[in-house]
Amino acid sequence: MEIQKINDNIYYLIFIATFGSISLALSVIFFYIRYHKKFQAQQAALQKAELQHRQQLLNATILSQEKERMRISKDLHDHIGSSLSNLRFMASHIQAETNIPVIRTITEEYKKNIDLLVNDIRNISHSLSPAGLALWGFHESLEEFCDKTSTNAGLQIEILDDTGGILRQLPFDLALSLFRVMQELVSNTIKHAAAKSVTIATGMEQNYISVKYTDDGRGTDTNIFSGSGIGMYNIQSRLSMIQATYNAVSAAGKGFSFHIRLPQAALDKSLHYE
Amino acid sequence: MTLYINSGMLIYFSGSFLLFIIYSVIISNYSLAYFIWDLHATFLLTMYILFAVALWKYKK
Repeated sequence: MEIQKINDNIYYLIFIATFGSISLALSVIFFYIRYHKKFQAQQAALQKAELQHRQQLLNATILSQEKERMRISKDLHDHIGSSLSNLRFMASHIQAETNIPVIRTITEEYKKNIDLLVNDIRNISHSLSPAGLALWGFHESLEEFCDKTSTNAGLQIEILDDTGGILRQLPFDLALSLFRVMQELVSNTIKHAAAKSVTIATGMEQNYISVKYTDDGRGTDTNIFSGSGIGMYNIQSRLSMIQATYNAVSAAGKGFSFHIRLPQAALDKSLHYE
Repeated sequence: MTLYINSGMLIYFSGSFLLFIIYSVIISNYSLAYFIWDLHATFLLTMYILFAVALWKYKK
């Protein structure tokens, strides 16, 4: 009887002691898992913040770059341009006042050189910052750029606009980003693709403005974003700045196409240039 | 994956630790010894199941 009771007690003791240590172990595991999850969540939040910060830096870089370009282009066009016009005026004044033939021919040369210089400066200033963009909007600037490229590089560029005038009202920063992307794509086509013609088709999808760039060049099988080229990197950063999505499709011998989708919501919260 | 192996070890050894300690004292009582080995087997099973989960996760 006594022994039986002791045995029962021992059963209980063993049971309780064992499960006590087991529950200790389980709580250790539980706390470890909780801590780990918290740590991971923190890490993810940190990474997200980092990404956001990098995006902001990128935006600031591009913004200040464009501002500086605009300033330089304006200075070039206004100050140096007008100084050169003054010079030219003085030269023609000298020409009108003198009877000495040598000076007449020299001033004639002088004027010709100044004209060339003015032309150069205007070209540089325009390529630095497409002045028409602020005045006439994306569509006209793109047409002008394409006309110029067609005559200079012998590339046939066709623009199909099916947006019903929205491209004309595009905010300046979006227009500028899209314009730079188009410039980059066209210059890529000229450099690598040996294409005869390019089509830029714009249109509306539900909540997106879609811009589709297609060339009929030799295309490529490699991933165009994997290379070290700065061009594609620029395109990516500019498009991510205006929150546009994009995908590129290309295969060897089948041309290259680049599809940009700009959410209409992005039109409202655009960045502002001075 | 290491989490499963570690927790398996922890559960098994923390459970069996006491059983191993008192085993020499109660070896004369057969039914109690059987009970202890049953408990021990349960912990062992738990550990092996956790190992299996770990390996399965590793394969994935």
